[in-house]
Amino acid sequence: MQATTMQKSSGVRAATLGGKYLTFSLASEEYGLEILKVREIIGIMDITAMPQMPGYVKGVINLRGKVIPVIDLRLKFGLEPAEYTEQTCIVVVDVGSLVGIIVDTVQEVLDIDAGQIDPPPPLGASVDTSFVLGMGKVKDDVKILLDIDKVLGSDEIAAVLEEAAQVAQEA
Amino acid sequence: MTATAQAAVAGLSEAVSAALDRNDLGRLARMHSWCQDLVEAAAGGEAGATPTVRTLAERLVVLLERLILDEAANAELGITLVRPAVALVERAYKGETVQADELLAQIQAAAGSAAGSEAAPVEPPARPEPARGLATAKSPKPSAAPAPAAPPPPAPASVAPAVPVPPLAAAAVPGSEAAGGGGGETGPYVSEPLILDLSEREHLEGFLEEAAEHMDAIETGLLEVEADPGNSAKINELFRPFHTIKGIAGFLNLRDINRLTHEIETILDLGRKNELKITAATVDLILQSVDVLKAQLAAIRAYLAAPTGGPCPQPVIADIMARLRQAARPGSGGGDATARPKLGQILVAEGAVAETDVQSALKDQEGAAGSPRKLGEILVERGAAAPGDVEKALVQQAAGAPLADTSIRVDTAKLDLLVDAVGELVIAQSMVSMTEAVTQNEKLHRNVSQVTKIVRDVQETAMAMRMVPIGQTFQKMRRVVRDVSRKAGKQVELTIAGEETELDKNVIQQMSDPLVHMVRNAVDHGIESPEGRRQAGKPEVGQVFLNAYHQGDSIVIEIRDDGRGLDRDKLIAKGIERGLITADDQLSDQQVYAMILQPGFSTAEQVTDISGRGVGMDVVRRNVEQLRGKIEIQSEKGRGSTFLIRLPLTLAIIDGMLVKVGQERMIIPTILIEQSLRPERKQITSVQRRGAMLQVRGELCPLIQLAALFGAGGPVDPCEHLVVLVQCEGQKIALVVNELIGQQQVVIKTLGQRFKHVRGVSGAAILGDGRVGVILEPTGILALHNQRGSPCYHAKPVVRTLEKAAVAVAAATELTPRESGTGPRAELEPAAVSV
Repeated sequence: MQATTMQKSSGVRAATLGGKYLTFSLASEEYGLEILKVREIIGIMDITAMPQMPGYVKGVINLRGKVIPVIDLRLKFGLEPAEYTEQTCIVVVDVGSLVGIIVDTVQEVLDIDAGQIDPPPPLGASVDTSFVLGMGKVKDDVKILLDIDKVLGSDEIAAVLEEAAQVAQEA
Repeated sequence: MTATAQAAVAGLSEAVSAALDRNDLGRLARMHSWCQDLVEAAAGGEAGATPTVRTLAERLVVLLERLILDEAANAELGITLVRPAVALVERAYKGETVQADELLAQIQAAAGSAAGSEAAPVEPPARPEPARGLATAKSPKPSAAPAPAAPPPPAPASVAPAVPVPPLAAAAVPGSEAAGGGGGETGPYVSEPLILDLSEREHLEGFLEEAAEHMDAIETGLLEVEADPGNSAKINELFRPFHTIKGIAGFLNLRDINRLTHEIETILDLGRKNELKITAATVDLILQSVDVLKAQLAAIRAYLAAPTGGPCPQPVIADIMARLRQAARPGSGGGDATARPKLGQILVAEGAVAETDVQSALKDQEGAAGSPRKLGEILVERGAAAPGDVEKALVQQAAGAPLADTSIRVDTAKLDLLVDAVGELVIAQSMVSMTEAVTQNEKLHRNVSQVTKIVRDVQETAMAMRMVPIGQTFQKMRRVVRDVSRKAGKQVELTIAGEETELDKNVIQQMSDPLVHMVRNAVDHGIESPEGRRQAGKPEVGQVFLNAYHQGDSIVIEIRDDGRGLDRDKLIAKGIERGLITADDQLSDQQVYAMILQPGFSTAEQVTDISGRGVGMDVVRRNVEQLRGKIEIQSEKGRGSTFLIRLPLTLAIIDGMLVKVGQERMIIPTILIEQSLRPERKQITSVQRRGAMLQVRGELCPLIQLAALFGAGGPVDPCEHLVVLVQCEGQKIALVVNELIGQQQVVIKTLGQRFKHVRGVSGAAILGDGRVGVILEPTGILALHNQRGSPCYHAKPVVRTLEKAAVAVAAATELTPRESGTGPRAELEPAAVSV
């Protein structure tokens, strides 16, 4: 019942989802980011760690004079960490403020019509689909289109931090 | 009273002295206001403001409005008519009979038919038009967007009964706004509900900002006038800001403010013409009016912040208005029968010295061989002018000289962007200059170093843009000293030095309140009563001294008084009472004095309404610490105290010590560092093998393993690495770091919302190689340490015996255990541990 209503509302959203997406791969899965959210793509660089941060917050980098946080998307999604290679990229996205996300490889910019986008299918309780905009079907591939604002919602990170502070206090 | 009319005529003639431009709305708007003043003055029966003047002024009002609104029937013609019209006004004002009919007709034609019919020139059917004019032309800014219908001018019906006007005025201009102000000499002032037009919000806010700036100038000016009441140049300077505020308030329909400033202006105008003696009482009164004015501005600001839809609440000004009018009266009968001659044109324009006199004097001047004599001298010699008059005319001449506006307003956010970008440029530049290709190619190297120099200049300029002199803030203290000393019945003289010293604008803003507090303290607590001072063999007048100067990389603000000084014994007693210290503590003077910076610590025996509640100095300290500065106190009992506030030059850059912590490089602000040392093993004590303490000069400081606390590595042996002692809320904490890398200036970057919960880190900086380093913040580190505890380095029991051995060796080699840098004992300890 709940799943149906969710699907419905996602379906409504999917109608307005057509547009350009930057696709990238992460642990052999393929994802898409609304191109309007993407500011730039840079190669992996030295990251300065920040204390008291959850593991997926790798730290901060210097983006031409701006200090911006960098998040490892693999760790954020609970995937196996991977060595950073020549292929590893930081995609700088604008979610109100600039945030860098570390992805395995950046692929291409795709035009995906609204008609090609399906709402996320129910994937079982173990998968959180709240930050999936929809599934883009391009030829035979399926791209997972991310709602990056939800992924990087500062509220969530703040909540993690507050929780950490509380745990520390109790300890 | 000739005040208004004369000022208006002078203003008008100054305005037309340069070519008029239809697009110079600011000037047209000012002229519009002066013409209205003239109409008012005429309605009030001011000398010189004859009916002719008035008719001309009224026509000009209409014409100017139409020009401003771009509604004139023939704008090209209209603009050319302004000048002759003003010339006629000037002549008419001087009492000459002028033939104005033709010009009036032309003006009317140019302005357009609705400007008022010939039949009723005085009671203009155009009244609704001016109302629109007021609404649209409110801002002197040419870019002002056309505003929708604004509140109409005060309805004559409602004003008339409340404000009695001289019969002449009432009869002549039933609808004139003048009824409320300039002319209305008697009867209490009645405020009208203030309806603010929110579509004018931008203009109102601009006005508030501008007025606030004028307030500072006014207070300073007033105190200068008080010190030198005969100086009409000073009074004249003071006159200008009031006039500006009055003018804009008029345009924005802020009637109360307009009227209040008008009254003040009247007094000052009489004062500058020596028709009214400006006394301390007058200055007091004007200062009070300024306070009322501030309250008026505050009320508008509050209303704009939270508009209610109803009328804006405003302070009652009837009382102060009455007193201002009273104050303006005694000297007003004098008139200016002895109209003073002015120099050259000014002299002739005034009409008191015949043009022929000046002409022949000028001829003399030209004819004289060698160095030409001054015109004033010649005139005085011939008896054509009194020496004092010429002097005054010179001053007026100087004051009247148009000052070119050499500054512009820039949003500080834009400056920050510039500073950021320049910071980047510097880093990129240093990276380029270090590349091999550059260092090996001499020509390229030369060119690059040229660029380096330019970049450095750009950086300095960018930094300098945020800097403003502290003078204005210091000048505000004059008022504080004056008010507090009056209230406390003391005589205090404030001496100010170093006004030109420049500080970051943000620093000055944040220091303003602490300064007020400290100056107040100096007067209230520091300086004794006149009897007390006499008994102590000091002059009755106490001295407070304010200074600001550069010292190394910081700026020092000094507040010194020659009062009673801090009483060490009393402070200690109070400290013991408060449980801050114990009777056995051996405290240095600095430590004792530092107690007054603690919250709730006040030694004042009685709480006055000025100070002594014990809130304050701790707030001062907090503000100073927020700015990464520190306070030093020097004092000698009976001789006075000196407070030194040491602040960084700018908020954007700090001097930092780059340290290696685990794998990361971090920055400790140099100003916080007491010393760095490699401790002796016996200086370290641990409790339950957990909380470690470091003993330095008899002081126990918590020893914090930074790397472990920040998860950048495990605990390390402090005796093999380094400990940096930093100040933290009045105490010291010892931070264990891997190594010191060096000192460097860094540009501070904020970390933003995402990292606002991170403790122990105040920001980040971009290091020489482009990487980011975090800037440490001791208060947070200590809090984090207290909450989590940081792991101790355990050297295992062996250390105990080694420690003894080390001491023995130290004793044997007569190395007294004292702190050192990375210094000489380095070879001793690794040896001891590696055994």
